[in-house]
Amino acid sequence: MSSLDSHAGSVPHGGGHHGSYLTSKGSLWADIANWATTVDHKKIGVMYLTALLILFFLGGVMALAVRLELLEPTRLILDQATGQTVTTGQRLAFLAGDGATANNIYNRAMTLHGAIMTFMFIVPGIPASLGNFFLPLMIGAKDVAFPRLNLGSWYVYVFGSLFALASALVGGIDTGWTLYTPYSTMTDADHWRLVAMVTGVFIMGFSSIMTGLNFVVTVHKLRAPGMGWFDMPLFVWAIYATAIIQVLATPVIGITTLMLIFERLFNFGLFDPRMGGDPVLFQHFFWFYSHPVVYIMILPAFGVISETITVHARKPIFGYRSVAFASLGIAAVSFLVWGHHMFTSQGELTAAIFSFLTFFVAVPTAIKVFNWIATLYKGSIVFNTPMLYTLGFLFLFTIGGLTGLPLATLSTDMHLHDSYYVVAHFHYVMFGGTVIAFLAGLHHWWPKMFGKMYAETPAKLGFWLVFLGFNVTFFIQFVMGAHGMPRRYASYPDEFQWMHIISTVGSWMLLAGFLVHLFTFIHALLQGKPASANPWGGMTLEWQADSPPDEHNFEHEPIVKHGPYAYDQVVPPHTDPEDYPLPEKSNPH
Amino acid sequence: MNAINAAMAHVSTILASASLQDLFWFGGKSYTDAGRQADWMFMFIWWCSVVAFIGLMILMVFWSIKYRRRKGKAAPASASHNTPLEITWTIIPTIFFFVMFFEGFRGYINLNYSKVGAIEANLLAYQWSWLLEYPGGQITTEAANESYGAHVDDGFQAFASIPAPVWYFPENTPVLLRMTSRDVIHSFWIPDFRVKQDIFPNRYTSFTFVPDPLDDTALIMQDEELGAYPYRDHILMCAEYCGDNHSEMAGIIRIVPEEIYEAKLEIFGSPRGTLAERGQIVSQQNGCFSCHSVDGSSGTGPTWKDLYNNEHQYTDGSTILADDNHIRESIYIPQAKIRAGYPNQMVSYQGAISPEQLGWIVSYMKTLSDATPDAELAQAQVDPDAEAAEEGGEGDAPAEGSMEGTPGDG
Repeated sequence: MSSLDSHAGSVPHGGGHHGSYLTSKGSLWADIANWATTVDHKKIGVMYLTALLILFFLGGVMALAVRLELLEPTRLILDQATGQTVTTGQRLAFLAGDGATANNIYNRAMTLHGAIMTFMFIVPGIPASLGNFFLPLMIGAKDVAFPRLNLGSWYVYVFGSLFALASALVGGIDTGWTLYTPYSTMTDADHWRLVAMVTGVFIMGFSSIMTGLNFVVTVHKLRAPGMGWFDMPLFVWAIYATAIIQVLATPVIGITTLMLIFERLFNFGLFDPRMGGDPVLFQHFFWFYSHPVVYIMILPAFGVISETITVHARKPIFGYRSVAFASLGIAAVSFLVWGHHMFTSQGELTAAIFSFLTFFVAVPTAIKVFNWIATLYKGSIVFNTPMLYTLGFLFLFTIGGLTGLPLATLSTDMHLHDSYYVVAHFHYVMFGGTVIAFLAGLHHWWPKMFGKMYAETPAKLGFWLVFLGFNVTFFIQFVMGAHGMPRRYASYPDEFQWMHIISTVGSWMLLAGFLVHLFTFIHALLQGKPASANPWGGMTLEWQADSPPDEHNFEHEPIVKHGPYAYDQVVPPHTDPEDYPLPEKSNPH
Repeated sequence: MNAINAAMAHVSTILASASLQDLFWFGGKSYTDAGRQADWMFMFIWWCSVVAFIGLMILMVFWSIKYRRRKGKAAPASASHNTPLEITWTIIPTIFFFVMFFEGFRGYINLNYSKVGAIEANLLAYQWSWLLEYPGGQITTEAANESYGAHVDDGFQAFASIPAPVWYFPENTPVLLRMTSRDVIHSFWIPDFRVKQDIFPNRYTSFTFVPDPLDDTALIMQDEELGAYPYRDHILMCAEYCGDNHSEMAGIIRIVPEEIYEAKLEIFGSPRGTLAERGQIVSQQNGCFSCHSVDGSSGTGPTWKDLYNNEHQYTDGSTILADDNHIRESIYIPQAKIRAGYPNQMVSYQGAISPEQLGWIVSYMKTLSDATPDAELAQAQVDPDAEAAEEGGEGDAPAEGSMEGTPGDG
């Protein structure tokens, strides 16, 4: 009946069994020493998750500061204590020390928001946390291929982040996260803030390469007996495609950051026109990494959605192979489209070529959305938090994808480039796509990771706050950009104020939503009901492990006899056939 | 005369009368043929997207509700793939994407290739303003105050206006700008024309447009010298992040009848006025007011209000009297002495501002300060024990001495 006959149909395991990876080693110090030196992919995944959430919080604070600043065209706030007007910038003056103007501080906050959210949160994001935890479980392995390298990657990541945060603490940089030359080689008399930030990015690149390499080898070598390539869950396919981009693209940002440091400290002149260099060369280097990295951010989200939508609709994914090949196709084309970030800074022929290639990324992405929606057809759909986030993802990501079309089209991009329209578009893709999928995955796998259920009702409240707050914050920015509001403006003409007010109010709704989620997660850890091994009736291998999993993941090496989404052929493991009956046509009974 | 306020009022009337589509989508009215073509392209993509989005969402919501989970009831068996369907939904979007690419490329060519007989002007971008030279070598002497927060709650007002250069161009005539940058990368964007182009320090890029003829929506300017004439303003902004005052790097393109354009060039070509008035114009042309206010408010650089002939604190701890030579040094070798509380950010204007023009600027600064040597002498004659002139305050008062007078409302 099921691949693990010993468990099939049995009463699900509760929490509190022996040998869980979360079991304390006795004293607090022993636990700390154990976690700090662990080579267990699950603990490393949880450590990544913790670090990521802290950085997400810091990046989010910067975003709130930026939105607060933009509430007024002139950045004025009445100080209640003294009755004087002060700018938001003056309130944040401690960030920048003496001599900083309000604009200057806004620019630092804007840069920090971008740098933290991209380099430190969303690039490692899903692969390093959920990927680390679930990739080995989903292919039935005990661990990743190189467990020590895995631990090393976490330390490298934290070390790199500390460099970048040190740069922020001594004043930060005001270059924007894109670090365009020659501005980045000319700004700030003090070299060290820029060098510290860029060195941090350089170091974090190694963490990304280590993780990617590890995952590629793990997927090739450690799949459970019986698991062919097309028996792999789609999350594994997505992480695999991501890992390939990580290994191939990340060295380029390493080279670019090194060149920038040399340029800055030793006047190499690679990007300096006065010495025969070309500032646009930097843009090519930068986007040759930073465009593929967009897919490092979004492909794992596609993987998460493929899992949550099948489990909570209890349906095989529609078009498994086309979803899997779309991931690989996107990964391949992602290396050929960097020039679409530079339509206004290059010649006509290159612009035309890159515009043409860009539409080829749109095709597989559209196919994936069609497949997910078709999966709902004749399903058995439950509206819990992971599924609400999944449907929310489909809504927001579809907007994000469709609003990308006028940016790929040359004549319309001439107007929209570097405007708020672009800001809205990439937030719909990165936040509406990746972060929303991250939240779907976090709720979906929370019972497995910690052996505790979260409280459904407050979590749903959190979803609605985040979903509505997100749309209030960012939808109006499409309108703003089309009407002529440029990006990265600390102050702006009056006519845009009503739209900025709407956007800022939305950011407060988002804050409320995340605080609700913070509460539900903490509540779940402290007082959550014990989770069964398979609370959602999932079919992939991680649901055959205990909740939370045993230190070695599985009691016996699992043998795979059916595909990852065979809801029409077998009853999910650890579930009651009464609750999870088979469809009538193919029911063997 | 407050042209920009009039322009803003103009924008509001457009917004008030626009259809919902104009308001929410492509940035109101476009003022060039190529711009309208881009708008058409955008609306084509927009309606394709709306149809696709609504179709997908209807399916998603309908199926989610219809196939919601019922206790003890399994989902009916259904196909896990359907090759003809999958091929269809691959090919249809691909066809649409091809159309978008080709039409977009055609529109792009129209936006970027200049017409025969264009007025060729040179544009130099720098942190944080623009210098535009007409074919005859003239430079505009006019600036408009762009309103950034003229209406702030509680009657507080500061930094209410950004002086932006005003460039005149004739209606319905092609214009070609040859652009380069003095420092970092900038980008020239006129939202009303739907086009932007980056500007680099190491090569020329070009920007072209053919503004529509003036129609009955044009505003009427009452000019003391030239009488009444119709005009239309288009705001332009820097779109590539370039540092502290990136958001204040604005300008106005003013479209006027051909004869007014000629008359304005005549005026720009013949410098007149007192030394101080010329100094004000030269300061404007060189973008000094992006960083230095003249009303005492704090900017990226120190205010010029009461700067001249007063003593100031410097970062090395010294106190220096801002006399003629100190101002000369600060403009030509700005890093020599840095005022306390301000970053070392100014670039040298040696070569950009001639010695003759420098003299005009000093004359202008003199008019902004109460502490001129004359004033000291006069006071010393009345009261020999008088102390040095008092320091200038940091008040919130709106600009009295600013270029065109700021809107005095609160």
